[in-house]
Amino acid sequence: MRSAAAFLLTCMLLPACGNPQAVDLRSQLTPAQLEQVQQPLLLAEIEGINAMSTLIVKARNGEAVTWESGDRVSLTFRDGVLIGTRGLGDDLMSADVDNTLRMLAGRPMPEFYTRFQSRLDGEFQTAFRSFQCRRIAATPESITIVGRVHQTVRTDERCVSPGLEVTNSYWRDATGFQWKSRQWISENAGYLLSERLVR
Amino acid sequence: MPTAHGRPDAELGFTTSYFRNQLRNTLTFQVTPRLSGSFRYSNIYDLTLGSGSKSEFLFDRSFSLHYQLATETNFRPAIAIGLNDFLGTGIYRSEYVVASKTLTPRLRVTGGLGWGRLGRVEGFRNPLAVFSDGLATRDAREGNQGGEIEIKNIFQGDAAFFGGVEYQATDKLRLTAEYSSDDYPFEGETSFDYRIPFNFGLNYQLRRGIDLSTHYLYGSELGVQLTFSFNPKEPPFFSGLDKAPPPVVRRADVSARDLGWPSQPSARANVQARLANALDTTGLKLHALSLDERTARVEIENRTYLAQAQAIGRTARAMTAVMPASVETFVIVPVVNGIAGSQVTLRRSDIEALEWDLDGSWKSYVRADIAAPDERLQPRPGIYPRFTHDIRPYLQPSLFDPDQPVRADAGAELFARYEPAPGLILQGVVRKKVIGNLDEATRESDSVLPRVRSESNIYDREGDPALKELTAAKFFRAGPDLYGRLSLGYLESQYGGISTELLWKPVERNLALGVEINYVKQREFEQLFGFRDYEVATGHASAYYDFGNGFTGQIDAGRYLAGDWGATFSLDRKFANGWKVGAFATFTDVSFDDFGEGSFDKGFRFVIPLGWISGDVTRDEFATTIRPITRDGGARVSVSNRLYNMLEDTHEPGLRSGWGRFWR
Repeated sequence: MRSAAAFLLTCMLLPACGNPQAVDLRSQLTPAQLEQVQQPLLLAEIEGINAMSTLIVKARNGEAVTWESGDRVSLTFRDGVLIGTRGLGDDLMSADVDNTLRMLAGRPMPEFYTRFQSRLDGEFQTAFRSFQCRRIAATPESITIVGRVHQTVRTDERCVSPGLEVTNSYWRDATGFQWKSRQWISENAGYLLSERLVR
Repeated sequence: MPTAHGRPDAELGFTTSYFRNQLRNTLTFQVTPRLSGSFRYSNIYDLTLGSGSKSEFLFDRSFSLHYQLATETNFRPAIAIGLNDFLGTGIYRSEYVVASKTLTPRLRVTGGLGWGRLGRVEGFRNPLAVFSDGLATRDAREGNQGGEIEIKNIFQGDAAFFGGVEYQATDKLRLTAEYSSDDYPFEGETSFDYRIPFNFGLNYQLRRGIDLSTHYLYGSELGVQLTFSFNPKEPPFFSGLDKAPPPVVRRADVSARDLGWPSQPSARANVQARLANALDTTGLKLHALSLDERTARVEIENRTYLAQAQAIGRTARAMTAVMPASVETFVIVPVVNGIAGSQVTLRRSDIEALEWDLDGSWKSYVRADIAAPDERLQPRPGIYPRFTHDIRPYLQPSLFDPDQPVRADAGAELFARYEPAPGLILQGVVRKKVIGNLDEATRESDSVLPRVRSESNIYDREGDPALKELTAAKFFRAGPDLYGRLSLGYLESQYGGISTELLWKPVERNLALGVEINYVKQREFEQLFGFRDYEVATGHASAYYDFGNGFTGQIDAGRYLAGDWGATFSLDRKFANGWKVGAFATFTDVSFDDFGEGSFDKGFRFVIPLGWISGDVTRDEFATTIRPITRDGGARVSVSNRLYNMLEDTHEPGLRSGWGRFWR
């Protein structure tokens, strides 16, 4: 069991961890295995490149928490909202998600709010994109992550930028803790699906 | 038939087309959004040149330029002007003005006026003759050695209309019809059966970047054409598959910064060991370190990242994790071949604050101070002496020999390098061919000049195995903004001797000036240790200018290998992702006649970063120079590690263009 836990902590993102056929890593996980893990553990699936891995917390810089997989792909969040990726190719270099965080915290907001993010273009120059976003739904939803059920509210945020429309979703429990999310990274990496395996 | 639209900016296109007795290979580069240049290599069989003389075949090289005078708007067509084959032997020589208009999203029409070869079908008196009677008749093609610009011919003689339509039937399929004003004066009787001036085509996009088309031509022939195109600005792996960098570690509490740490004797050694280890993990080498309570100065060697800014960013990140909390100033010095290129001074609190800032790249660039290094450190113990070696594959192509237009050798290359002290490098390269046909090139040089390059085929044939390089080189800083190089030994496959260079290149300037003086002796064809009789002093004064818009220019004036005096003009488009596409031409006091075919030395050069192709993190690149013909005038000795290229990316313009990768 101990080695299984160790395996989870050093899992590789590319190709999909443990199996190049991209068999769903979730099916290999059991609640008993997760009991062995003594630190926060995240499961991340990158839809655009069909890869999946577990990640552990690598660093904290202020509010930014960086999670890393065993083969050094990293995801950085501010209170559960993605602000950067590294190691995916078409990475999210940075993001300003202040308004999304305000919306998720239930603070008073105008209907439409702005969100910014940046990536590197083909000549490695910083390219910014701005989105107009709004909350489109907040519905109670009961979700199951590796055999454990969580009562959450699913909040959907639709963001529109010229030629692009994406929907980010956040599943948070009554205390505001985020158990699951689906967030857009970039055109070529697609969406991130994250699930919190160990709190 | 030309049209007025170009390719997207920076696109490279390679087209090969064939119909009876006509094989054409064309490489096109969209130099700027409006200007494109093409190089065409054609094999034409059974053509008739001039007065009844029958030529078996012709291998023809030609250049052309296309410039878009006006882009298309709702009310105006795109308008372009073009010159075909204005160098070279000129069998395709023609000029045109053309307009194209997109009438519906699927339908585009083109009409134009052509001169020269494009002014022959239903030609009429040149309308430009109203400006000058001299334009009414086109002087005879002089049939020179090629290469001479026959400017006096341009837009002379009869003109004719041409035109066509393109219909985009589906997303993949395009139909074309054209009325061509070129009646194939040299080929149209013997080479194929020219009947009518109409052509019809089907163009099918096999996948993005690959087009296949077929044409019914001139009422008698079927032709096929394959086009590959890609754009250096669109890397297949986007900005690269680099692994996550070391995270920034923010100091816990500003008030608790301990200033007493230097009194602990092991503290320095401990920091150095931890930093060396952290840099190692991210592919960098710690060359030297100095540390006081407030400032850490770090020299690094980057043999991993294409962008020095990325190496500097990763070094700064690693430093946040190991430096005592009292250290607020990071000075990072990229070292190349023992020379410190520049120093980048960063505030640690900026690194801590900007790691995830939306505009962190620009903010960190503005806050960084990039300057000439103001002190040198003792290298870390254990770095020197240093020995590295590598066995790697090589590919050596040879193009445009009339007997066999494409030849190549491939084999293994052993590279070894020994550095006894900073800036002193002993380096050798040995090649062993495994497979190839370069030895089949038996064409003898007919050069009337000293045969300084025209016997390259003998070197290719005899050198197996070949000692490609065996040199001792010393690199040094000769003063503020002044760098020096001294190289001695077997400098390249055909020459050995001594090469010296001085380069003045201020860190923050776009201009650099250099002088190089060499005394070299020609090596034996076998490329072992012996020499032939020919020896010569050569040298150049060089000016380099980075225009700041992606283009760099270079002028080298001086004495060339054959003892000829002159100058080389180069212009490169440099992409921040490492691609380079450039052209050069050399004019010396060797007359065009003495030079022989081609009239003067010229060519293209490409640098393709291998990481662009694979997504991997590497500084390796494939660099090649393509000359339509290699002869003896305007030839230079080739030396490893010329200073400008070596230092360029450690200086301000290079760091700036790569700074997007600072946080990568």
